[in-house]
Amino acid sequence: MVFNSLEFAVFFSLVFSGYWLINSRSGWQNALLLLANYAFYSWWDWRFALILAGVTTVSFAAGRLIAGGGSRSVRKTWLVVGIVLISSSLLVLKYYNFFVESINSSAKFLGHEFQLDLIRLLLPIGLSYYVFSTIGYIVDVYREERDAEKNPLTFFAYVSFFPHLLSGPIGQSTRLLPQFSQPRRLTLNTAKSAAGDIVLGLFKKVVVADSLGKNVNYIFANHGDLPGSLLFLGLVMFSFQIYADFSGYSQMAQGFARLLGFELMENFREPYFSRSVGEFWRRWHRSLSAWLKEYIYLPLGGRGQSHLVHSRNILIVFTFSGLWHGASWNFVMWGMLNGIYLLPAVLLPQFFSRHGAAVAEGRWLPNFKETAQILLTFLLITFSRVFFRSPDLTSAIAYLDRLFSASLFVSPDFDLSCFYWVGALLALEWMRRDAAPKLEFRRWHLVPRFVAYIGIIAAIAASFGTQPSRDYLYFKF
Amino acid sequence: MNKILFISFMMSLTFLSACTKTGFVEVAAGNPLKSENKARTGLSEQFPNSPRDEAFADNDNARKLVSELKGRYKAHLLDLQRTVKASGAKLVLVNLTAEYGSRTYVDTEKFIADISRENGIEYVNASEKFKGLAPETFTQMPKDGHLSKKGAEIVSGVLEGVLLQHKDYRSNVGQTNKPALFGDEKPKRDEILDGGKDLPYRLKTNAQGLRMDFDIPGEKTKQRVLVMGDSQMNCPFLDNQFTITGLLQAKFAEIEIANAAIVGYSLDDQISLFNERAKFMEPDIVIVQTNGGDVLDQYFSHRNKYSRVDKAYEPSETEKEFYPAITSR
Repeated sequence: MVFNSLEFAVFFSLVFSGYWLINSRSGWQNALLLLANYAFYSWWDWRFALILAGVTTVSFAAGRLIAGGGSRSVRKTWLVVGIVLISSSLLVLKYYNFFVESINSSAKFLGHEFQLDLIRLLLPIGLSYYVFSTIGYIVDVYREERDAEKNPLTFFAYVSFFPHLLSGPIGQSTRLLPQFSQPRRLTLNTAKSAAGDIVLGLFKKVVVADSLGKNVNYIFANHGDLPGSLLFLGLVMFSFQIYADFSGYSQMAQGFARLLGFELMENFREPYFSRSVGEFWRRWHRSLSAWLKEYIYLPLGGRGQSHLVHSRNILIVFTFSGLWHGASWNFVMWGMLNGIYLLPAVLLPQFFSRHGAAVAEGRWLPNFKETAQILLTFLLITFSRVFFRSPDLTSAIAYLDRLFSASLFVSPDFDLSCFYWVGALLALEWMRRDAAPKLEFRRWHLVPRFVAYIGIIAAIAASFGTQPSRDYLYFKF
Repeated sequence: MNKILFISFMMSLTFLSACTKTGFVEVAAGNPLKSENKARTGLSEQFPNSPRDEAFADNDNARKLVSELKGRYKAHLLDLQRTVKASGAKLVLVNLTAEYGSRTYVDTEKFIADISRENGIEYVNASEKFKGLAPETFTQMPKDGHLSKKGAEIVSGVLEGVLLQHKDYRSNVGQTNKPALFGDEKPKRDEILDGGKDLPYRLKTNAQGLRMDFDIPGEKTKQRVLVMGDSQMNCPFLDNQFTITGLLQAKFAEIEIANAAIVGYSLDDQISLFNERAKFMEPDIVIVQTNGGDVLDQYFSHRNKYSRVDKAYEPSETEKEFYPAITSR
């Protein structure tokens, strides 16, 4: 059941109506949410719900045991047991075959004959997200940054909360979990803002991402027969596809959560207007970046005492991020490459300035330097995505080989009309960027705003049914 | 006004969600000429299934049915022969089976070869080239059973011989009152399709409704080859240049090779298409791809579903008697 489906429309209408009929009773609302969450998740496969329930039970119990007092070593033991048990679900279901394949390949390379058997395993959608979310929770309890949740109903409703269950934003126990214990309100302004997010999210997914997706699939599937220039455009299209797909989903998730009285973390902040790779990663998939920073990077020592330690920590975090995205070497390469991009700024800080202020602050358009920085950052990020989109490392290398051939300068014979939508997306993003002056159309006069919404809804309606149904790219992570 | 805005939004959202139910997955188009014949639509709804393996069961009903369908196929083939001959073109029948790995159609393919020989129709069995090869090496299996690039290369190699053999053959019959379209594809398409099988490919058609990259010129200066058939010859999941006709065109710059093959078409469709459109491109050679399945395609329910001929196909007594055997599978 994806957000842009009839099933979800019916499901949400029922949940929304029932939820506000029992207004002001957060306990009953949580009970209804819990029921709805598990129904939503079981829609994919009822066995998914069992795994979700198992992970949630373990994390709830671990949280209670850690908070139960005792010496630091006892609390630490419960933390380690909790992390091991929770992450084992991910390690087995997502990474077992990857490790086995890697061992088998190494053994073959070294001339050994033994081969471990691969196992056909069920990989629940969203597992990586709620595993991270629950690990974050027990670490927060251990660090005494929050109390262990006493009410299992509240905790189970939080972990399985359907708007963020499949693709994040990764739940933050210090920020989102407390909202499940508070009374919720729905005002007309909140509803309008949620509706705007849902419409824009749908536009990104159905109009922009899906129109790019069919071209991207074609180019990556046939890269051996196509000119380098089209392969380059294929990568650019993929960059916008994955952004529109993922940020569209996140924005819809925010909208649906807000309609239920919750405020999720904003997962994206106009990442393609970043002027450096560092800034990009502060704006892209922010809930994952925040998790990695809080639970991997800082425990490793963060910036450390030297540039070398800092560089090592960055590389570890990005390699880990690559592996989180996919159990294959191309994802590891993608993560490492993004880590490497950050090293010049770490090793030679005198040549790099941290971009704190928003782009084009106080201006309508970026200046030449900002434009060049934005383009360079975009190209670096886009280049790394060949490893992200290709099915394996061999295909990625073949893609690059073809990309950097003489045919890179051949004019591509291809319908590039999908870039009109990319232009529209960039215009919308530019208008809502976190800098003044803002042109965000939510603040326009009623009439042009109404016209703009009608235009966007018409584009969504026109795009429905013209593309094969596609799941969201980030579901598989 | 704000309430109206919000209510409008919620209604739009529900409507849009409902629209996802209409999302369709397209291969290279079935019969692009949609029939509005109500009697036919009614029959198609009443009898949606077509026979396959059960037509070759060891019983009298099956034998009687196949015999009747063979008779129909033969009549169509002879009609096609007459039609092509009248246009001054040379007819070549090419067997390109849809079966790789299994051989249900041995009997019907032998039947086609026999009646071709008996009636002086040039017959080429391109499928023989696949003998001994694993289907995965020349088809899109396991995702789909249509030909891969390798498979199309093998078939184009067979047809290369046919074209070389007839390179000097010219029709001396001209056509007047030419229609705008020579084929049944929607003209000027340039789309990425994947048939819902994660096999994305680019389908391009010319302004004349043919699956090719250029238009057939008004004035004939080169030998023209018209290729008709079903999806095996249309080659879904391959870009134009990797289809059988695309590969042939790359080899023979001195010939104009037109791909008019359409998914689901059978012999009576080829006759209808030829008479209404394709003959006006003044072909010298007409290659018609067929296979044993075309005999079964003469069954009334298959015709009601796919045929370009806009009429209702009523079942014969034999077909009616046989239908329960299909639905019980």
